[in-house]
Amino acid sequence: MAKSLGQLNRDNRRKVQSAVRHVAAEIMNDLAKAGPVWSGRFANSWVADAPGVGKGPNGTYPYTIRDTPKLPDTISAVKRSPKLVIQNTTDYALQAMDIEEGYFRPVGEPKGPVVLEGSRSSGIRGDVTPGEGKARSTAPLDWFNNYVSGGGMEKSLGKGIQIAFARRN
Amino acid sequence: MNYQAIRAAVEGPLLTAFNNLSPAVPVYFDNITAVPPNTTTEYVRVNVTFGITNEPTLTSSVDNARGAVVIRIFTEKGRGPARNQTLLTTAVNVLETLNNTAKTSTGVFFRVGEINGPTFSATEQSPHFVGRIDTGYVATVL
Repeated sequence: MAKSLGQLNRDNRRKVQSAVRHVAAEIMNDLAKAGPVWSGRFANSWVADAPGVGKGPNGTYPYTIRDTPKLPDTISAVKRSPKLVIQNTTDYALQAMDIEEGYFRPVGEPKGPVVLEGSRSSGIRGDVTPGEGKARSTAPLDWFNNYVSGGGMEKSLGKGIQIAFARRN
Repeated sequence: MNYQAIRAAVEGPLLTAFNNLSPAVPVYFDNITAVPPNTTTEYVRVNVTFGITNEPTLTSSVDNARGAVVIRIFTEKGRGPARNQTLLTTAVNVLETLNNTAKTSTGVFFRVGEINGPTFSATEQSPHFVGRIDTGYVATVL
């Protein structure tokens, strides 16, 4: 059955908004996979907020589209170019991303695989030199920069769009 | 793929630039023990990461890689940002020179993207004031 142009446009807008949410979920999943997992709190603290629309729900890894806020699909809302902002809600996010120095003391055993063991010569989380020492790291140094600059984020984007359109068609 | 050549393309010029300063500033790369903790000795830490290799859409060549370069400058805490920023300038100059180097028929063609930072941090536990810049890169082995 033929659809009116207005309805067709709305369908397309919905597809685009859905794709954006799928992309956000893929990015959050890939960030959780790439980042450190000691207690698991950091990996489970990624959220996608839509400024001006609403905060995203607090989901846990693995994230799905339900862990992203629903975006309005009206013409006026799309014209305002709503965006999703992905952030980690832990208060030590910058230390976990190797952007700021911190103080690290092991509590319990890591839930994720240890990638480096040795000594930490600075306050940077992943700055662990292999060898003697009790410091352990569950993600390589500068994993976040590598994800953003090394092509990981673009792969997440492509994956999210593929999933979105495969499900809608 | 020659990862070592790509790494050398950025590490070599940085090492030379910091060695040429007076006094020379030690530079530490991946998998090298940095200065003992709790000393105020200034030093530079360079981390080169590899993301995607041989992404077909990058260029027609399949011998390419992309990743990130993160440079951290550790200077004495409580003495202002001037020394740290001077050393950061040396690092940025090296990255800019890399971008201005013409493509040759052999070797590695290395280009960095926009440079993020510098950002600065200092913690109670650490004796250092840390300046940080980072950038993405695309490198092609010719």
